[in-house]
Amino acid sequence: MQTIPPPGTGQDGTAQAAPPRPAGAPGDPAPGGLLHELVAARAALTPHAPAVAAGGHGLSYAELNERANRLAHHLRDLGAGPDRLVGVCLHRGTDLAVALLAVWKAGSAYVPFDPGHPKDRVDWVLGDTGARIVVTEQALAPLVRADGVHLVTLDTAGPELATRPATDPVTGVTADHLAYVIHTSGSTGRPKGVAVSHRGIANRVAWTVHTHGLGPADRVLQKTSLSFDAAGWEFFGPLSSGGTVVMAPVGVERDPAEMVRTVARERISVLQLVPSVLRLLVDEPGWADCTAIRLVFSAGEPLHAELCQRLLARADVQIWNTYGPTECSIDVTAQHVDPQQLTGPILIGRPITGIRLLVLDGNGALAPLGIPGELHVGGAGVARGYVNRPDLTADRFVPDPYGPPGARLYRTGDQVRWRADGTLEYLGRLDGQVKVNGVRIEPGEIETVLAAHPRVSAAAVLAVTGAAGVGRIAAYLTVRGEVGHEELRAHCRERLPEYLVPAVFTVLDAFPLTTSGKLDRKALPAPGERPAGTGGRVPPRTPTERTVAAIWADLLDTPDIAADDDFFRLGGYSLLLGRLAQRLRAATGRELALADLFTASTVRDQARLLERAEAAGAEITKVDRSVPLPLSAGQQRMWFLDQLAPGSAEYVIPLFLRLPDDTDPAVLGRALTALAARHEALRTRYPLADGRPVQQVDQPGAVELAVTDADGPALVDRVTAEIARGFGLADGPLWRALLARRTDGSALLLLTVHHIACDGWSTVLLKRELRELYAALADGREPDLAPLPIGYPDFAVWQREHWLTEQLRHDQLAHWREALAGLPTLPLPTDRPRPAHREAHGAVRAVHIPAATAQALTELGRSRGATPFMTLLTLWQTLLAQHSGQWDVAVGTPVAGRVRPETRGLVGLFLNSLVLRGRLAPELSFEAALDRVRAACLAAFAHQDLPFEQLVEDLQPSRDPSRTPLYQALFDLQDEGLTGLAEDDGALAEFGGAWRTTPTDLALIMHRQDDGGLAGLLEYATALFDPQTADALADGLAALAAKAVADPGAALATLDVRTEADRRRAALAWNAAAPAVDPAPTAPAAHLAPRNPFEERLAGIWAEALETEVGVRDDFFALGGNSLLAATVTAAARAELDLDIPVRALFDGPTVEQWALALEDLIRAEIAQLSDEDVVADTTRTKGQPA
Amino acid sequence: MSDDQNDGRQYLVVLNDEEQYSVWAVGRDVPAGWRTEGTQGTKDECLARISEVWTDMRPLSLRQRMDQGADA
Repeated sequence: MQTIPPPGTGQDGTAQAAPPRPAGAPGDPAPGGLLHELVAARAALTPHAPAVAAGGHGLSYAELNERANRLAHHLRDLGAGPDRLVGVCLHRGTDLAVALLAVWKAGSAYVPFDPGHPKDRVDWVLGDTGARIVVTEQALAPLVRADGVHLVTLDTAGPELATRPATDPVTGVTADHLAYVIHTSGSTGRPKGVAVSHRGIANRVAWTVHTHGLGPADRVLQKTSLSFDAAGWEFFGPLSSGGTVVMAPVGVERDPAEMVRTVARERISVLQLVPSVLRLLVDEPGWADCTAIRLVFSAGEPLHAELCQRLLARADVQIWNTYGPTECSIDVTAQHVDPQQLTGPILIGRPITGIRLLVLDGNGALAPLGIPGELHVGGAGVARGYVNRPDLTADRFVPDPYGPPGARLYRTGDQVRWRADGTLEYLGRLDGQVKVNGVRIEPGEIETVLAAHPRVSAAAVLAVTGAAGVGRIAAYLTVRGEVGHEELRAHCRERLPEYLVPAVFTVLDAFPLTTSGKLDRKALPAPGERPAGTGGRVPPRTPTERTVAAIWADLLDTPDIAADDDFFRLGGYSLLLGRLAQRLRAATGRELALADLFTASTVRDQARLLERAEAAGAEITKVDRSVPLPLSAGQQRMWFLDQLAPGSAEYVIPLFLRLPDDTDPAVLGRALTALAARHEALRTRYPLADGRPVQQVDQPGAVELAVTDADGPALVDRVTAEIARGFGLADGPLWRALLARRTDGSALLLLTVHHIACDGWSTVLLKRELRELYAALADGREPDLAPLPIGYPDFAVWQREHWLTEQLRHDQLAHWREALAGLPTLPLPTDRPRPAHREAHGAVRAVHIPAATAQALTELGRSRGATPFMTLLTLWQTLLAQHSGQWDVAVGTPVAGRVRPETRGLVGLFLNSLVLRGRLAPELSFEAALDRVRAACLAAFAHQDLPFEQLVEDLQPSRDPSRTPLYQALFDLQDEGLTGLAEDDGALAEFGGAWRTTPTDLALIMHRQDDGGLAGLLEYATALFDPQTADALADGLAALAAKAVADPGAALATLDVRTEADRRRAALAWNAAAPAVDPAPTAPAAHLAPRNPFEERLAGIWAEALETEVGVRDDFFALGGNSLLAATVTAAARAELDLDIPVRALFDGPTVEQWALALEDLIRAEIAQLSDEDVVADTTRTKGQPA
Repeated sequence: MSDDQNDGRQYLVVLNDEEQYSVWAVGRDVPAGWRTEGTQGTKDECLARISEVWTDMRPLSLRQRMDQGADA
């Protein structure tokens, strides 16, 4: 408790003198007692006083103490004790206060984990500290789960904790034991853990309590992330002095307006801020309502009097500037801001209680008054050192030649000088460490992460100060090939806490070097300079873009914002995002997530976010059913596919349900009718009106229900026949039921539904609701089903009018055109020649990845920020690449498409298909491949609204009838809870051969198993592949998974799991690969007018639909035709010629000349089938005249 | 670590009564309460030595108290 006196003038001319006795030597008690003991004492003194407040919840001191005691006993049972580390990973709330206190009561030290930190960093810190217990909550468990780590999830541990004693545990913990380990940025590329003792934190908290008279009336706002040491006193300042710690709402630290509102609403009296945040806060309205505030602490970075004056003008507060490194238990100096000081920097002040300060020159001698030197800190606050880093500790914690024997000093690396009045002036850093917005940054740590990106060859990181005095992190890079800023930002965000993610990336051809060959940091260009010249800059065009640009101009104090300007390049920083979100909300009424603004960092992207938010915010309302109802995009796609192969069983979805043994067909019939009454999609037909399909919703009526007593092979035949019946979309119905009463007494129901009325999500609803309706009708009760406020037609109209806007189509198409430019078809080696027209017949082969491999695989993915979906997709694309010999592989995947909550309960077709293009390469490691696939998936999911059919129309309007467009392989990882696959497994084994069709050449559909394994089906087109080939692929997938897990850094080429035969086949297929997708239209042929009446009639039909003049050799699609128009002209020709014309004919020959020939063939074939009598009887029938 | 790791100076490995290690530049008197361990070299060499020998970073008196507590 020795404070160094203000330096006087000594005989030797130096200004410092050694104190007479050690401060805080080991073995001394902590000043005033250990903090958790003080809290317990408060609980005995004022048990009913409020200790913790969190929104509407709160804990009294007695409650806090009791809950912390029970948890502490539990932790002790798990092995917690003095000098052992216990992780804490919780969102801000009462549980967080309980957990911290409990860790101390158990004798242990806490290691905080910020719930927002990436898994990569959390794993590293867990490994570094060796923490074996983590107190967390269910939602955060995946973040902190690790081998050998015991998780205590507070939201589920209640019953167990209730059995533990409520009394204070006895642990023998002393002031010398550790209180916490906090990781700060490390220059060697990894964070370093600072180990702080109870003495240090108790000393710091006691200083606040005594100097500022903290007491029962005080309410301190807890808003600092626990991963910063300063959070510690926000908790234990009030709790050790009888006050209340008020847990700020989540996200408040990023939202200045909400923070001021919180201070007012919660009657906060004590607040700590970094100047960067204070700068934003003072401009917010609402300070007048902050009547309780009396103390504001500023820490973390230099504070200026001008800012203090702005605060003093708004609030009646005392402002204190404090300074200190984490290695010295938060703060070592403090300065009361003099309200009379109007300008200039605020000094860092005098040492706080228990701390002694020395300013030493380069030779370790005391620096005279006014002469700069390095600040060294001694006393109670000095930490034990860095966890697992004795070398680093020895380097920074040095012998104290002027203090008591054996004392240590921490070398701060900060340059300071004494002033004559005994205060310290901060001058700057002596090394590369920098601070950005109050947070310590070691550029080396960020450089290490950047250099780990596969396409970054070198990186340098600087902290720069913008015009507003706000610091930003700027990264400079040299790269191999091309890498976008968004990708770099995403790469860093997966591995670093957000405050370490560079705001701006600048790619250089080469780094400037000094004459000695070192990086010349001073010669680096200013970051984020706009590209030279303004020729390429596009001004904001839409009203939304102009709104965004105007707000930016104001926030960034920059005029003339362009549509593609980047927020961060122009000087924006993450703290400013909160204010940006708030301004956008005020201007548009739309709420945007900060994480989305972080990623969408251009005016255009943010305008798009706002438009999305607006559209998604538009509720779906009931529409008039008496007018013609348009089809949704998905229905239109399905209708068109049916036109290509009318009545085909390809789009029939079969569902098998096990029903009660004594199922009554009459009751089942009523249940089916009730289900159809509930879901309009089940009673909708799609007739043509004016050449276009419309939704015709019929009244609920009886649903076809056949009953069979067949079993065994006869039942398989019956099921096969049922599925093969297909449906007529124009006439309906589009679903049927077949009840099989088995010989063993069981009942199996087969529902067949056309895809136009159903998707994967719907199948779950259908099964669930049919069961409930049957049970309710059988029991004579009301079914327990939530009413549906809207029906499918309402969604279709909403989608057309509010969701798929021109702007969305334009934006998303622009993305897809770029993402899929030059996309090749997948040249899979086939066992048989590819039929000219794709055949949908398929078969399946089971795929299995055992639990051990599957878990290692998903863990590997997680380490790269990839979801299990992305990880399995990487595996699948790698396998396809190896087998086809082509590394650029597109795979399709379904997405649910249920954007609005009110669609979640509806049966109908909402699903859309996405193309996921993995630009792999044989030299990439599996890890690098994960990064690429992940980036491709994120980009695709961000543009998932454009209906697949519209994408096809744009990119590949003239279809290749032998293949599915854009992708020839499919992947899906199904959520077991949603699809109820398990139930289908049995039926699949029994009837698998009956109905299989495949959506494309190869499809891999996986789901997770209870044991942690991954199982699924490989569906393959039987027209192309032999079962042996499918076997090789299925086995190859599991083998590849094992290899990738065993050596994730190995080049993909070396992970080859193919047989020699596979290899030869791949080489052959590649040579015969089909041409790439070419979005550029082919050059139109010379105009040639129709040459006979038949061509003239057909050209006339085209001209009406296309609204243009048509020559006989003009390509239908080059003239603006699309699949819907193809169906329209086909329908028109059918009507005019009274001839059954397939839509496909137009795709096979997309000119009038070719179409005329194809139609003549059809006419001849029909005539040939007619008997002579028919011909005689039908002489008046109108037919086209062959030329 | 700071940039002065190899400043050309020679250092000694030193430790105090709590067996906390550090380095001290050759030529200056070793402060009271500290003794030399025996290693002399560049700073990096001394720090490398400390990495080997300083395996328990708890102060000695705390280690002893905890050991006694465990024995009791």
